[in-house]
Amino acid sequence: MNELVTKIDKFLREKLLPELNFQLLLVLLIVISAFMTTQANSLATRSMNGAEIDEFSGSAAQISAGNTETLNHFKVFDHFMSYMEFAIQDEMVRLYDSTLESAPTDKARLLIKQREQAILLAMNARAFFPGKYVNPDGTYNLDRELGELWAEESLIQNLDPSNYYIQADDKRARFLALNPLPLLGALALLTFALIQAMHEDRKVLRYILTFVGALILLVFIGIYLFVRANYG
Amino acid sequence: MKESKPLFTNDLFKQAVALLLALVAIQSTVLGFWKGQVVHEMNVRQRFTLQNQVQSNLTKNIGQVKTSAYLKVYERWLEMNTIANQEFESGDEEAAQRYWWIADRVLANLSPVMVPPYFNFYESGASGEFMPPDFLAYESDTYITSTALNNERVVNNNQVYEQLKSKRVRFTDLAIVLAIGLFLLGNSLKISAVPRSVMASFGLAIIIYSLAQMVIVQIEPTTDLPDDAMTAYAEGVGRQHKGDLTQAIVFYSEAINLAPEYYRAYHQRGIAYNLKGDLQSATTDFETAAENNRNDTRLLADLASAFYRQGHFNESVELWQHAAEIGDEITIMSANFNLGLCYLALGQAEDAIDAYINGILQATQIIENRRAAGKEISGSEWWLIDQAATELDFLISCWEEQHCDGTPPYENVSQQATLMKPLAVYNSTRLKEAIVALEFAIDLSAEQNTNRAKVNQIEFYTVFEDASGAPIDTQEGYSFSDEIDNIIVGFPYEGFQSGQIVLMKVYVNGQEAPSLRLLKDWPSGAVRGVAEFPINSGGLKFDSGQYWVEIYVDAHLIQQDGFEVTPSDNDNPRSGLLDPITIEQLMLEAPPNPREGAAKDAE
Repeated sequence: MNELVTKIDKFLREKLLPELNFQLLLVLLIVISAFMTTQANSLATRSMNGAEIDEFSGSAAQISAGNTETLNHFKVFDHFMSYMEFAIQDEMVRLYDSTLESAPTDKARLLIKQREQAILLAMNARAFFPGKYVNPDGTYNLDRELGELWAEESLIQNLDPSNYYIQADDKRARFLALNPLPLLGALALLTFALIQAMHEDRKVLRYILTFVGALILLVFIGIYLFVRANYG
Repeated sequence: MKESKPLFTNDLFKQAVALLLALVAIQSTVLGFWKGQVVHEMNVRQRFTLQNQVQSNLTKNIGQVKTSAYLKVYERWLEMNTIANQEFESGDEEAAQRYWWIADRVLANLSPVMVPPYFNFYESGASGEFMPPDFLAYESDTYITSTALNNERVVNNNQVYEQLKSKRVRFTDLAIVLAIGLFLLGNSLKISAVPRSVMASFGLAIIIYSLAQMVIVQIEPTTDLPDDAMTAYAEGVGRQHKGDLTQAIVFYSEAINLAPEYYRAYHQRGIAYNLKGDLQSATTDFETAAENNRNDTRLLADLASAFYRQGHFNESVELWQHAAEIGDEITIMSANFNLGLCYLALGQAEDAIDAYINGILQATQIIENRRAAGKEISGSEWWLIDQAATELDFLISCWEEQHCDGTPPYENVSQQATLMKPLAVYNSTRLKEAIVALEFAIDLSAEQNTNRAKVNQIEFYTVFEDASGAPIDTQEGYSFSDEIDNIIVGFPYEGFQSGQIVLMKVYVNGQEAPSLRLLKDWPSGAVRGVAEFPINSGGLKFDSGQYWVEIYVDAHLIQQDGFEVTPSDNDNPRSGLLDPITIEQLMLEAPPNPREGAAKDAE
């Protein structure tokens, strides 16, 4: 009986336990590989979804910006048209003034009437544009008014899609970095599957392959952690 | 002798399948990786499409706002010059100076279109010919070219997006195939003997197939056009808008050199050649474009029309038939009318009649469907229907007068003239009557008293009035000067019934002018007499050209005739601007600018 127990104990110590330990190690490595592959895949998918959401917000801001700029142009060019009318009549008044002094009486009467008419028309037009955008040379500063209208509107709504697009680009970069990672995971899994299929007496080869598989897994985890820390 | 150790454990089959499963895991990861890249690229394309679309709309809207505003500045400039010329002619030189001053010093400063390179008043005046500002060039520089570029980018991105979408779908399909292969392989481990070998073999075959398909889908290229080619194309569109067809063709050719697969550039170059009158080159380009896109009905229509105009009727028929097969309801209608035209030119009477009947039935169907849905067909769609009648009239005119503008060469259609001309006239009348009936919802098939309505002859005359508006003289005939602002169409009639719809349509140079129409609900008691229908130009002088008048009673064409309006020498309201004295006055004797004085005083 004792002899039998001793034999079993010897078998366990020499043959079964090392093999069991090795199999346990393999299972552990396979579980880690599968877990990391799932993690990398999941993070890549989340990154892409996040990028899509940012892009959607960016698109909304871009459409708002486009609408605002169009409406601002309508508004500013309406002002510009009113200014044109004002500039015509205002200049007329000045021209009447310059000719009035030398005009004979009967003609002066007519000119005064025309001058008054021009003043009234200029006043009418003056109500429809802000004076601060009229340049000293008589031109109208369209760009300045457009710029100020834009600035006012940007206080009310988000007109800058660039921030969203930058965020989306970061997330896309993370996705692109993560997307090939599951390949490493699958390669490690293949290595471990190969080891499991090998005859247990092929110890050296099995240990070498285990080392290679573990190395691949380590590189995989390293890249994953690096991407996670540095992208997006 | 030492026995060699086996590489794998005893059950070789199981181990082989297990290894295969691991390889399939790698394959599916690669599939996931490739699909991920495709989805990423699709999202990026989608974003660019939206960005380009917004940019395109923005540039176009702003460009149109600016052009419209600067056009108004030009109108005011013109107005000031016209008043100045009047004042000058009436002897008030001072007043004239004021208006010239406003035009030259105030208005010209307000618009970039009023200065070179778009406008050079002094140079155009010196050359003796007034050249208005080149608004087309301004539009081209401001927004036409950039809008065309953004539109091309949108189209290109959409095309690439569709190709990527197809790849994604095929990758998804392959994932399913791969799953089936995996299932078969995995199941083969549970059973024994022959069935497991069969199952494993099937699984392996499916996996090899999916692997091959994966590689094929992955290496399949997407046709992404280079940006330089699209830029050259857009430059071509800009030049074409300016009217510089030669330069437009140069740019389209550059686009084609940069991207030989750029079929829209071939199509657009064909249009430019067509506008230039080079039908042969246009046809070659349309054919090249159509070789790769047999589903673009606009392209097919351009090619078919080019063939028709060159007298290649069979080719044209084939294309119109194809367009009718793949096109929407409007295309089918248009294709039928054009088929009718080709059959007439070919001398195939029965086919021509069938085609016109089909076209009219299709038009009726379209209009009835729209009206049932509470809508009307658009102006452009009416134009297409009218155009069918106009094309027919052109062909009749080619037969009658050997004047074949916009039709095939006379020698190609002359053989059929005797037989086909009466048929063409018959079809033209039917088509025109159908158009009026459709527009006013008149049932042409209903029994009417229309056949009793008669108009023997149409007369045209104009009435001259004195300052108070009282008529002082009339001039009758078939040719009038464009100085006149009224023309009366007079005709003796009989058999008209109360409540009948009487319509007068007026065509100018072959195209109907809807503003000159006259429509009357015929009053009771006016069975016979002489009617006078004024052609109402809204107080404007008549444009010069060939005028054609048609009188319809309840959609039946009962009489038609024409007259011409010839141009006179001083019809140009801007002619005063060409007076060299005026220009000198403007340049040398302009009054001092009071603002300049004020600025100096301030200094």
